Amino acid sequence: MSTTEAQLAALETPAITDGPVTIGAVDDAVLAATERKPPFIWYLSILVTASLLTFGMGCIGYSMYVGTGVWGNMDPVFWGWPIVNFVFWVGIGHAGTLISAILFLFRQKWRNAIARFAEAMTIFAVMCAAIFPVIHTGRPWLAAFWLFPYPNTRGMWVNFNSPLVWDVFAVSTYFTVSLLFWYVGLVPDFASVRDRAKGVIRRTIYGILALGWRGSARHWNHYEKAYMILAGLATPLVLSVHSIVSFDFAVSLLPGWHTTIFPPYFVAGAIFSGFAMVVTVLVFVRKIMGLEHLITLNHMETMNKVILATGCMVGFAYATEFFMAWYAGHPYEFYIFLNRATGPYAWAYWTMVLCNVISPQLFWFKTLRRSIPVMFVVSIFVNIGMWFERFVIVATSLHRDFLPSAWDYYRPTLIDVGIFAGSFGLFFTMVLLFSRGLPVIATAEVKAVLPGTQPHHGHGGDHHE
Amino acid sequence: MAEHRNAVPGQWKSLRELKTGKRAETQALHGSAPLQASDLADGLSRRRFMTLLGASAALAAGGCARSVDRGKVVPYTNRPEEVTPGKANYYASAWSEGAQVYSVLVKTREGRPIHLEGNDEHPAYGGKTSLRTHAEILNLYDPDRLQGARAGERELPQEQAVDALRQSLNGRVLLLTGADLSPAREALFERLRSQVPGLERRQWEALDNSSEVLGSAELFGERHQWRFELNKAEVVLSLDADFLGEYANGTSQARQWSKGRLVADRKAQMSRCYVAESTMTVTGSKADQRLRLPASGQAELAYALAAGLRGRGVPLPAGVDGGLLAEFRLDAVARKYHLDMAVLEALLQDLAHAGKNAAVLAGQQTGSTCHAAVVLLNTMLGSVGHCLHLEPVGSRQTLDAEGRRATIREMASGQWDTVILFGVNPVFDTPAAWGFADAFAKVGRRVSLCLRADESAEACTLVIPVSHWLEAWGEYMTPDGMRCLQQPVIEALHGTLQGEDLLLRATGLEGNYLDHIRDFWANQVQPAGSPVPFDRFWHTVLHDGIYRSPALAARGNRLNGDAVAARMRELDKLTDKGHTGAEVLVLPSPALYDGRCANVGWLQECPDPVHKMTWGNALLLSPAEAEKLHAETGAIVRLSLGSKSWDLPVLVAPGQADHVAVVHAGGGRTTGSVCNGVGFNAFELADRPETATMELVEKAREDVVLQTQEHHNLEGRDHVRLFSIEDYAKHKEKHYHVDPYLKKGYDFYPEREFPGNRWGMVLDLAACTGCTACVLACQSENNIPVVGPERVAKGREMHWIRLDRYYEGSADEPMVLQQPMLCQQCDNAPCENVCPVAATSQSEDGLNTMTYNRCVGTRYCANNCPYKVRRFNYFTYTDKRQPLDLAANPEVTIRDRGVMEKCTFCIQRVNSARAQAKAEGREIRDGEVRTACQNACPTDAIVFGDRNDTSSQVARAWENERSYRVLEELGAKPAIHYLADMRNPAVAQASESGDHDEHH
Repeated sequence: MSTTEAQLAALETPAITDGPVTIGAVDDAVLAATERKPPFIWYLSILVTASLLTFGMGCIGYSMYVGTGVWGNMDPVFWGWPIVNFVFWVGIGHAGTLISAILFLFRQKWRNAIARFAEAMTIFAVMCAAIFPVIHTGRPWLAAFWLFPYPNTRGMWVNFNSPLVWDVFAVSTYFTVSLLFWYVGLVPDFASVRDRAKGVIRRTIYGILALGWRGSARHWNHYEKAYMILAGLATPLVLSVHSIVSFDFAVSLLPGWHTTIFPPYFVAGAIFSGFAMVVTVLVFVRKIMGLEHLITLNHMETMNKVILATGCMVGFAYATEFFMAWYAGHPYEFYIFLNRATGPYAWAYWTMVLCNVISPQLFWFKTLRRSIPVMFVVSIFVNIGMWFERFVIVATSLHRDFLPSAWDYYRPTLIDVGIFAGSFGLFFTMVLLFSRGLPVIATAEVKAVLPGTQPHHGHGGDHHE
Repeated sequence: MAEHRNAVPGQWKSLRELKTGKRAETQALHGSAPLQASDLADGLSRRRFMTLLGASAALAAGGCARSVDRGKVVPYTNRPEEVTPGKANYYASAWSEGAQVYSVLVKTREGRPIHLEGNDEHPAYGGKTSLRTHAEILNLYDPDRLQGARAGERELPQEQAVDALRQSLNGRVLLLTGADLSPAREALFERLRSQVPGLERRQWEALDNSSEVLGSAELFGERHQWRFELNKAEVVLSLDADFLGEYANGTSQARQWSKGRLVADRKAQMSRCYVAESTMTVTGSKADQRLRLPASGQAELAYALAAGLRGRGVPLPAGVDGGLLAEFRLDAVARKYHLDMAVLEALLQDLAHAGKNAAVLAGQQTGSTCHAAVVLLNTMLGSVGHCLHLEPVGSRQTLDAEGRRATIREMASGQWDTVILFGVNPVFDTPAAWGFADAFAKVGRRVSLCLRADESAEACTLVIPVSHWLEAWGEYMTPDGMRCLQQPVIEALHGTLQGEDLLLRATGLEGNYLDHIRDFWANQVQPAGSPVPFDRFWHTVLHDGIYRSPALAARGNRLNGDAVAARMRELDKLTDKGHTGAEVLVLPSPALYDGRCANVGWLQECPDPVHKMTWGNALLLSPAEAEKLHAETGAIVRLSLGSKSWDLPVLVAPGQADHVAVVHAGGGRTTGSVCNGVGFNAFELADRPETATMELVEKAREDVVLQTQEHHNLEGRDHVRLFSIEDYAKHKEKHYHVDPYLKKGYDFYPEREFPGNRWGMVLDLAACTGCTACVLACQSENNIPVVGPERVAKGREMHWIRLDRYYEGSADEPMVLQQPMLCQQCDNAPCENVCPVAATSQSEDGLNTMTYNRCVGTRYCANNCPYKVRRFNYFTYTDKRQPLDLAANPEVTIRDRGVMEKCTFCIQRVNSARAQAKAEGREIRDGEVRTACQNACPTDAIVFGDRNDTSSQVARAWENERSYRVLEELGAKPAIHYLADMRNPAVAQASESGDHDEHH
């Protein structure tokens, strides 16, 4: 091959792994982690995250027992941190679906190494997100089921005009499809774990989870079709879920909320934050679990490119909002945006801009893109910035709306912080449990793209082992 | 009256408990959340933490039963004759506060009073009443009320208490009561004197109009007070007299004043109101022309105006020295106090022109020198006997400051063997400098007949609880001849007797106080020779609540010129004084008056009409004064008077005069579970000769001054619209703003049909004074809880109606705009479509209704409400203490925790009127449904009714040219129209700053 040809080939299929990796080595690297005793650092980590989770549960229990008044919510900022956290976590989930579904459909093979992990994060993030809409209501014991349309003797139906009802459908559908998609992808790997298992219990459990997978051609045929269909189903969800979440705001008449840019802006932001979270977590996971040859710097760099791209989109959206507020000549809306940048919450606004718009610009430089410390710091910045974006949207729009007499300043309480910390506890506890119990990399998919496992041309052939 | 006694289970609190009660106990609030509803800061024990953790796990597992206490429902076994369950009975009664007598209608349900309204038969009230009258319901059911007599630490049964009282009525006995306008009571004390020769009664009031009375006494040789007919006045000049608020009878004066402020069409005339005042009051906020002038400068202005009038050819009354008067020059006053000469000239012109149609009023704090000048001015104008009347004070012989000091000296020197405090609290409300407490301690027998164990009761040897006025008999007569009867509407809740009965029993006189009143009325009140049997006369008056007898005759008002001259000479000395510090003014609090009713949570949480402050008082300083001290609202300033100093929270009060420090009375009570420790006692600062010096000791904190409104500027928005009458008359177009996009046919959807009634409201901003009576009436009618200071600090107050107050223009001399804001009952309500469970929806008569049972508390509706009038129950706010539950209106649901609520347009009143109309086979008549706020509004700024009925009041007001909707451009189609505020400024520049219709 000439140099040019080699470069072209590299563009087509970027290196999935660092150096030559055999199929057996993939199994050893990934599946063995579920068989070994966890290292000390794992115990230490789960101690911290489970404590956070417990504390968060305590805070939730306390606010249920006493009333939502233990939070900072007030008049006129009737929604506070819980809704901010909800939107934040739903956003985090988006990277997983994007990676596993959309990149799958676009045949981005580099995704195979990180898809499993990203999908798992999607599910955990949606679990975290799902906590908030229920607990934030005044009477969660009723909200937990009155928000669902179900036949009842009262003859009461939910109000289908309300975006909150749309939310219920959007998020529950998202969770269901993501879970199914994830599970289907896991089936061949469950079978591999089962086949390697030494104990009876282990073999039985993973055997049940593997649904009798034997790796026959029929199985693979059905599997590939099912996976493709689920990817197809999940793809619109990437766009729809956050669009619908954004309707919670866009459908209202509040200046700063009532804007048509919200759906694309929220989706871009969600992917932005989701990728940042994947980078944050993978920086540690690939190191600690010794997967640096499977989740390579190339992967990380590619994700950083996505962060750069979506970061610019988000920045563009901020600018557009300002432009429209001025151009539309709507005095209340213009005031809201002016107030965001110069009012009592300007600190939050400029934190957001610094984190979301300025910090990703570092990724224009290849060396920085490939530097683990830099990408870690930037991804943390982006996480913070995206949380602040939601805070800015929720708090600054509400705290000064139409009638100046109602204006006030919102502050969270310790309980708010505790519940948010608890959601991180839940997220990372789940990540840690996942990293020990399930294959963190889709081995079947990685094996499929190892050098020499694929025909050079054409697709759909019988290319498995 | 029901025969059985309402036994209320033990709420008894001993004096010792009150004294040594722990903070947690004393902080418990009326209607505030139960103790568990506090924040984590209260500390979380390990056990409790584990409990909560367990609870949260249980919650996560799903299935939580609600523990709503449904209580017991017990039907009447023998139904009292006049009680129909589910139907309210109304009784006429009356009560007095200070020198004011309020004739009221008491609404009772199943034998318990639940709401108070003004007596519509009384000409001064016409169905209206004061803010504090509404709160008397909660005062009646106050759990802190004393339920048993005590002598020191010993509890006494009632008979023994009467015995102890009998033993106290020996030797020289001083009986201190509040201001007394009851001739029958006066006669009762005469009768008592036959048994107790050493008995003397004195009337003790902390805040009274003694300077007015003294001012007139010098001039006429007899004590007089003013009564007003401001409806006749074309020009009103207030010299620090808050006549729409706390000066004299704010309710009836506001009614009168509003008559001159009705602007039905473009040809209407308006009265003009000049206010010169030391601090911004509701009166100043409605002024057409306002001047900042300290109380001490008011007299100079008054004499200068008199001199100016004389210069314009208005003759001086005989005997007044014109030469001395000529020394007062208007331009000199203007220079000294930085007043706008153009305004003063216009004022002089207006006064001279209006003549007898002008009224000049002065507040208590201006001193009797100023009051003498006011008598002079009104006499010169000829308005005495027309717009205002000087009438003798009658039985109300309140001690003036000197009288009270003399009494204290007598106590200290051992002149009194017994002092009986009957419904007064002098230990709290006497200026601390006078040393009441020390003198009182020297009296051998100290008796308190009181409702609650107050500060004075703590200093007494014998404390006997008395009945609330709603449990007692009484009668009143104001000098204009109006008599009111006070009848009990409920059996004494705690088995108490009224104080008069206690005294009758202790002296062994025949009969009870009711017999005494009946005898008095039979002999003195019923016209001699009337053919009507007394019983019929009595029952008629009892039914109406009022009876008009001849007014007290004044002994001829010949002005004593020498007295005026003496006053003017005295003023000359004052003039030279100059400003070395700030003068301290102790003023009555708009909500708490002098603090007697401070234990009523409704009043503590009632926002000050101007400053929007709740739960406590503050040192009010002008913006310039605060700037000098580098103090902002919430800062702590050390105020020193002579050797004494106090650290007080500052509230920057736009529009206040410089060199003035204003404090409102009523704070700093040390007894009572609600008011204990709220605010500081302003009487500590009262009556000290020095001027105050101030220094900043602490930077502003947020939790010191609790305001229900944080932002005070309209930001150039047009929610409150304002015209000067001149501009208004000139305009050709209809004034209200109709967005071109909102014209018919714009909507995607067809107009909603309202085939039956369609309820609507019109609020006249020109009439609204911001007095806040509507807030209290609504609170009483709709069972609105009190949330407590911590929650107000968080912005979680629950009032369904709020009064938005905006300052426009400069902070020094702002224009004040008031706007009542309540649920706008939108036809196209933004709150409705966002509720996921359809808990808020449109009714077919045009109301935006709330289904509490269905509400899960997402709070989305409140976010989407552009008016931010929805209120959320963040905690369980209902106070479960007995007998507060009796105060609740049974027709209105008590809202649970986690539920949204808001104004319903008093839907319970709508529905009961509908039931009545249906039963009678007719339509609901216009005016048949009156909302609680509408009924309370003294100026009739609120009109409510059926918009479909084109002849209704509301339909006509709807078409008024001043009418507009707030935020109409949002397309929510609110069912409330506002009528733009109107002012009648004399000088053009004032109208410019206010008129912002031009901006839109």
